[in-house]
Amino acid sequence: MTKLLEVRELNIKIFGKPVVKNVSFEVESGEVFGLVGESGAGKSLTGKAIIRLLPPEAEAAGKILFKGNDLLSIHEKAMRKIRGKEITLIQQDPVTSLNPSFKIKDQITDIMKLHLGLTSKEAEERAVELLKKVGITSPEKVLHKYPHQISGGMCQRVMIAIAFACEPSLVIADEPTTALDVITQALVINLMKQIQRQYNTAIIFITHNLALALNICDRIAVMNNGSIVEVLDADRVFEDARHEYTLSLLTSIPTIEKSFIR
Amino acid sequence: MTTATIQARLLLKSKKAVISTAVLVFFFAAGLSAPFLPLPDPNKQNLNAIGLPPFWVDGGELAHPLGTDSLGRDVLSRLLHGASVALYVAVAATALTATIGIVLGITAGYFRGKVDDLLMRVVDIWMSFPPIILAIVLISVLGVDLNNVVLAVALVDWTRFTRVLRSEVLSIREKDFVTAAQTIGFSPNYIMWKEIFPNILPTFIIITTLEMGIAISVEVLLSFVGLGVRPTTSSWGTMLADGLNYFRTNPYGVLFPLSATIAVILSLNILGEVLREKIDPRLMVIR
Amino acid sequence: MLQAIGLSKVFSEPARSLRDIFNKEARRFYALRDVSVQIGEEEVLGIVGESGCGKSTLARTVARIYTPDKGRIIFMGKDITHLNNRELFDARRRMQIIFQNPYSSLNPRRRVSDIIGDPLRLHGLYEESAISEALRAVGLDETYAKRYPHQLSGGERQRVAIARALALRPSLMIADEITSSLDVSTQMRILELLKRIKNEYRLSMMFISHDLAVVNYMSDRVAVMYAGEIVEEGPSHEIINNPLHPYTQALIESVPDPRKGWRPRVKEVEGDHVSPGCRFAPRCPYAFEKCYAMRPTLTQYNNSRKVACFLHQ
Repeated sequence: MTKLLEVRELNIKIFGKPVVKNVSFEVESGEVFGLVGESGAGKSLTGKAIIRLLPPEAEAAGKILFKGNDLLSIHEKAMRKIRGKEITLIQQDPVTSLNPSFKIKDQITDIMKLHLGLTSKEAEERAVELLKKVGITSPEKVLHKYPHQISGGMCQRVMIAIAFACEPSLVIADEPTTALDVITQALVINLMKQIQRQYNTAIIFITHNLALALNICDRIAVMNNGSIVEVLDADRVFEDARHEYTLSLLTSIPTIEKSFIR
Repeated sequence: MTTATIQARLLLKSKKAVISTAVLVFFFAAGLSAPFLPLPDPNKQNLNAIGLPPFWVDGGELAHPLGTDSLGRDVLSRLLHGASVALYVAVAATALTATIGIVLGITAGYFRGKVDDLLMRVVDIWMSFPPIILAIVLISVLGVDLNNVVLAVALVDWTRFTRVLRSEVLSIREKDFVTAAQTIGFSPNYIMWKEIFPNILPTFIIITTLEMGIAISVEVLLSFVGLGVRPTTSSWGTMLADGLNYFRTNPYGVLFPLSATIAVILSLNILGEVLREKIDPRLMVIR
Repeated sequence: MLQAIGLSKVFSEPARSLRDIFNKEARRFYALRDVSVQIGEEEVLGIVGESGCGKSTLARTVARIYTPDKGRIIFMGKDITHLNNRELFDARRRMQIIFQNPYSSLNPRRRVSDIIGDPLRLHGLYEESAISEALRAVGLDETYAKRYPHQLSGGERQRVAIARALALRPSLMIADEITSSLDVSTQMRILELLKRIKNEYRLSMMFISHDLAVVNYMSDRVAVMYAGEIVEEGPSHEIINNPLHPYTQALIESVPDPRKGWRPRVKEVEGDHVSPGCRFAPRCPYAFEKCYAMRPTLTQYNNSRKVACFLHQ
């Protein structure tokens, strides 16, 4: 495996108040890396900083090396070539991340026309293929619908299709299943795993749900209060976890048999 | 620190807010104190001193610091008495409009259904009349009098208040704390005034500020066309009408009432705008 | 304590297209369809299902925020289905509901002391010490009385909401997704608090959640809801260990367990699932012909369990 992304001493301040403190981690290509923490831990901001979509009141310092380029210092024009093509983002609420005024077809083909230079016809063919891949059985029908005409789970599948449309090397998934029902969540997570393996895409999986992260990620970084408290192999979390905060998260996971792991 | 003091501090930081408040305080004080200041009678005509310019211009006199009008009446005195007229209309008309708007807005928003439908259709029909024409028609029916101006403003503008407050109430009514109050057994009256009203207060303050500006401009406009105050009362509108007749010979007759009107209305609008920026009524969050 | 018999609740959606305007039936949405539940003294009934399955409507109908279109609600031996607000006054105190979102259930413009105190004054239960007592019962000290909701964290707000309900000395507490907007560690502490309070004050409870693990932790009995109907009901440990309805099985398989593989078998459907048959049939891995033609009713499976599925009839 090769190093795809390296975050070095990332600091983010909002209105001068530090919210992400000295965060450093590396992601290898094809790896699923989890950022786990409770609300306010700074995990979402870290994700937004990588794709450089921080809100205007936020200032970021440090280095984010993606394939050797520092994303924090390159020109916005260059960043636009990376965004959507090399690095894509899947957000929490699928229904609002799609534009309600455009058909699914337009939203999914636009990105391919922009980054891959496909014609409308080629893009549409590819869109059908992509939608099939994300488990939509009648893609031609779905393409001609508006976002409000399909279910939330369906919208998130479309978002996944858009995110993987240009075969990016890194997908940032920010709480992609939080707005979904448990069953749909399970299906969407399985789907993401499957596509990730197929394209060998690296994913930064941001979630508050440790159980979920342990199921999909290769490694996880536990964040609390803007800092990473420890980075662990997902398979060995129960053996290796040392930090008090990680342990407290582990004991709060509700599971079916014992209700809580104790 | 309470929310109110934080908001007050934020407002003090904004230059716009401080300047516009200062202008308003000045005119408010002037309007209140005009009858008690050692000023000449605003209606006393002096045909020996017609159309005098202000004292710093050639031909001006210190006895009439801002000059006189076409009948030789003291402009400064008339300006300050005009401020008290404007002030009266602003406060009285806004109070009346706000009372109607709050009662109807909260009732319609809280009860929804048929009450709301009926009221909103009335509002729609009402708002389809051009406001200025409606005001002029009302005055022609009611007769020329300052209190009728107040009434006309309220009758024209209650719809705006009602509509804005109603939509605000509709969104707050959806909050669980309203449902919680219902499940506890509170009466609609309690819920409307104790639970909902404090939450629409920020919006209420903002539209009140804007409404005062509208009330003053309507008064000035009606007085300008001779439908506002009785001729014996001095108003910025009547001063403007008089000054405009002699604009070529004495531009100061227009300049002073016009600047006063603009200063007050602009300050009210700026203040309303700043309040809107600083207090987000929907989120109750201080930005 | 509480008995709800055959509750139905229909909402009309606003018309979305020209055709909708004339087709009233198409705009009708059955939030509840013939739902019956029963809660005994000091019993906790859990309600589980995905969003939009009608569990919140059930809570709000039982609490008489909504009036059911069909069915009856009997609370402490009294039929409260059609009582008006004045007649409900006493029942309202005895049945308290706690809402999902503590950011919306507490009035942002009022202090904690008023939020807890005003309901007590209304019901003539106010005493000097009542507020600090209520706060102490939920693990907050009396300095919280002076604060406004925006000065509290999500968990603290939810505690205040519980204190407000508890101070009225209710007999039945309805908890509607009370932990779903909280962080995991806070969620656990709130659940432990609720369990302690339930035992201490000998409350009956209706506990609603989309999370089967959480419902299982809290409840004696569980009712699983799907598309406005109860599809399975029984003692929680039996349902967890031996789920009968395919939907319940799918729910259990979908809870991520960090120590086990995870292989949910359900399908997802595209488009709406309106059919004369079982509402779950289009997603069901075991569906056969009859499932699409007829709707299974909730029938007794053994003396403690009920299920609405042709596989078990």
